[in-house]
Amino acid sequence: MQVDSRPVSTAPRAPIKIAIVGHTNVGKTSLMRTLLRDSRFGEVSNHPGTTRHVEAATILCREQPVIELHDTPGLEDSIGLRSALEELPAGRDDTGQARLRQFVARADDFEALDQELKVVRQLLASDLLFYVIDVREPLVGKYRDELYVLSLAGRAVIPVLNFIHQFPNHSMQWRDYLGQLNFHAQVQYDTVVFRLEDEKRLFQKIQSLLGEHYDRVQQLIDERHAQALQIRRASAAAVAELIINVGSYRKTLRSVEPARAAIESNEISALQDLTRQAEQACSRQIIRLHRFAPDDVREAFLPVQDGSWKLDLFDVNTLRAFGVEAGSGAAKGAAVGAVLDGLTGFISLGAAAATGALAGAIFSTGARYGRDLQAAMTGKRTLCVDEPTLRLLWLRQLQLLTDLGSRGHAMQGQMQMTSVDASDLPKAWSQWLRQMRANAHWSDLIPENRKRSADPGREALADALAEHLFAQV
Amino acid sequence: MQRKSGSSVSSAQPVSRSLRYTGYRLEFVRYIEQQPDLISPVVIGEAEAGALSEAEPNGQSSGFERIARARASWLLALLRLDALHARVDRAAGQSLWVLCLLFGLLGAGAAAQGFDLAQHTVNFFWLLVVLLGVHTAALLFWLLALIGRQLRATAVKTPMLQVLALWLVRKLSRLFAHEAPEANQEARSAQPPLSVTTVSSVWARLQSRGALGFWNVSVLSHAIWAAYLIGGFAMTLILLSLRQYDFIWATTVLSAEAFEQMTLLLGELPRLLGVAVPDAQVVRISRAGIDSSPEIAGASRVLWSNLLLASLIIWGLLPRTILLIVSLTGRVAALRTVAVDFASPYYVALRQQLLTGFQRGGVIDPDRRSVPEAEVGHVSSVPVALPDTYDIAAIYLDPQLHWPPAMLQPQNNLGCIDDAASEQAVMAAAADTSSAHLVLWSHLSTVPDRGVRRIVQALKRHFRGRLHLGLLTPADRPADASRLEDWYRLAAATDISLDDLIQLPLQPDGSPDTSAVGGNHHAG
Repeated sequence: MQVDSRPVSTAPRAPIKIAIVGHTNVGKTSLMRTLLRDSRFGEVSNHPGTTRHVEAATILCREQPVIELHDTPGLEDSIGLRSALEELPAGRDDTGQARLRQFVARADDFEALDQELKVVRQLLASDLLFYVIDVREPLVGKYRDELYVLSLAGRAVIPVLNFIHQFPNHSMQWRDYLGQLNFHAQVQYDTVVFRLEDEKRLFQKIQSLLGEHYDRVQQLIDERHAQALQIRRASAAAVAELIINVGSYRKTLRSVEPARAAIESNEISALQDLTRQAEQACSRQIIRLHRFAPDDVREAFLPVQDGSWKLDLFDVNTLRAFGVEAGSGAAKGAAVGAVLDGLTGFISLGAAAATGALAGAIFSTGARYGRDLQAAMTGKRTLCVDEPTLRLLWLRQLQLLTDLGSRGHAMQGQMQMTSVDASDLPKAWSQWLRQMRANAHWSDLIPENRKRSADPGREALADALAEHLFAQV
Repeated sequence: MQRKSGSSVSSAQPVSRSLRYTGYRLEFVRYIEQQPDLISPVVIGEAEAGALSEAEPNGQSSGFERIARARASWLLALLRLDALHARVDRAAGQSLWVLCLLFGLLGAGAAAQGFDLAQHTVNFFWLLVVLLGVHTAALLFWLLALIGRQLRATAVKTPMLQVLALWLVRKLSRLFAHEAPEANQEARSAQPPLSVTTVSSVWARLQSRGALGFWNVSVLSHAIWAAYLIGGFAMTLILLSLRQYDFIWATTVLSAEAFEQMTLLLGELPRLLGVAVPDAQVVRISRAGIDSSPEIAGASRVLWSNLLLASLIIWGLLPRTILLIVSLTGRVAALRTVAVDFASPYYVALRQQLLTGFQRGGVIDPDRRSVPEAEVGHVSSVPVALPDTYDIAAIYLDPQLHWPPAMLQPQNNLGCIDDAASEQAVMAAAADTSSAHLVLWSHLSTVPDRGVRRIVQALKRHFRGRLHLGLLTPADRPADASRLEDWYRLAAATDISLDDLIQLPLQPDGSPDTSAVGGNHHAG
């Protein structure tokens, strides 16, 4: 999809100022991280009072600032804050905002409420408030007091229900109460289990509350949607490349009888390394595309470490975990990596290939199958990556893609793995595999192949694979 | 290499003509970059820093496209791709000349075949077939390719010619490549210089792609056939100028009428243009073996040579030259419109890396007095029991919880602190009670924040006896260690002994864990 490149018609305007407020430890900084797609923003911990300052960041759309977010310290002593506000002498103009301003002006009298003061300052300076709620928490009085303070500010409030996918879940209780307070614009937005649809709803609430910014927010929604699709498509294309590169790799072994076993086992481990590296490079690329830092991955991210999977690709148990039937060699714990003798290799190319070779219609085709035929005649053997391994590669990358798509940028721990198994293999798999096997020159793992001009057949297969993955994720 | 100032890099005009077209430049850099392990990350980093530093909004295109263009220009400059590309361009031009020379010689040779030097005769139709016939067949192929392209059929390939041309380009570009030792090479040791071989293979991939590829093949095809025809024309002209030939034609199976008709048809256009060409009678008498008077023969010779040379020009050279010009124009147009797909994986990855989509605003209301963390003292592993007689109070309990549970037998229940009013009520009750022990209950999951700390401190002030903290922990899963640590920290900050921290496991439905005995539990 082409991102609309028209310049933003209006001159740069002031962004929408939004303060993210809420009790301590409900995930305000996490919301920032997820909205910014930046797992490095601020500091997040499970202890109270982690954020002690107000930190700003602006969301851009086509280089123009659209939303200015302010991450605030947690409201920790909401009872204290409410009491302080209520004890303030009523002035001539006794509105909620006037009270809050009076509180800010007399900041020195409330030294213990230093953090709350910062929040109140932001309340007054913002166009809109995101009130973050941890729905795992029951609705108790301190939250009611917070909502009372927010209502004084006279700003539009969007309650954001966080941790909606976790247990315990008091969201019904919260929704009821928020409804009583006329906060109907609530959205659920889990900062850990990310869903683009939830984010879209959040932005749509901004649109409905701040109508004058409708178009700009709509551009942002559209841009984010387009980018999410592009990222998914680009990731799928990367996996398609990996599968084709590994699947079409073939190496003819020159084997002299006495040393044959040794040569083959060396070649097999070399091929295994090559495959591991290719998988690792692909995983890293996908992780980067989703804008996670390499360090996020190093910490606790899937069973991936330093961009490579903790479970080795060539471990029989890994195969079993994904429900892939191991070949007989693999079952014995032998290396996975098939050695085909020349004739098997040739036959496996299928009848169409053989016809092409016999007809010799196209020079290159003839030469290619000619080599296979020659190998068959001279008893040479061909090394390639076996099918269970290829299936495993596909399934693992599919799993990575699925999980990255729903991983919020605030997530710190290892995530619940999506269950992926052999039934997720595409229907056309064996047909694709035949195509790959028949075109050893498609594999970019062989350096000289990279210099060839693009083969339309390879491009078509890559598109088909990528399209399938894209639709599956 | 001197680091160029920002604006000079993206606005510098490349020497290589095709690189002046933005789309082509971007695609070229993309192809180079997609060669694995070719460009050092250091150089890429430098190019990106340069591109970002000079990104000035111009309102014409989105920021990313601008940055991508600037980045490509920086990479071209840093890797000296311009000079390498120009060298390959030059080699391509030279290859074209070599091929033209080859085809010119072929044409001349083919023309010479039509002349019988011993008999002093020239077989008109033989000459026509070898010169114009082959050319026409090739032209038909080209037309088919053109139609196929319009119909978006699969790309018509001209493999042999293309392969030969590309092979020549590579050989020639390497032949004249003197990899001069770089004076400043050690400064960029992270980046080995790119070889002309690499650049030429990337060049070949790019130049044989899409519309550009089609027009390149067209230029190649029209140029070499024009050269072939020029060679044939020149040879014919030389032979006809230097000696006297009789034009003859002969056939075994075809009818003489067919030849006559064909000759007249061929001569129609030259005749319209004012060239004197043989008429039907001259054609008939020129058939091999028919003798004619010397005057008539002399006149027919002139007419035949007129027809031959005019046909070569009108049916051969002229269309080829026009098509060559068209193809050159088409090539420039193709270069101008090389499409850059900013939604392709390469650019998506680049955008993800270069543009964050947000701007940091920094800390705007800093933390001026950071509160020193209270030290967590020794955590007792001795079972902590409830005192024999005690009062209870609670803070922020789940309203749905049945409180107090049956297993707690307090003397007085002072209430649950939930808001300002209940806080005052509990404080007042705590000041009044005569009990020696007060246990303040809370869910373990409640965050022991400053609000809780203030309340605990206030309670310590109001209550004269000993204050205990009771934590209701979930019985069905292990206690959250980090939250427990927060409570220890609160206890330490409020001078409550860790021995006074009591845990009570609660079933999910809110009833106390019956397997637990009297609230005796380990703290820690």
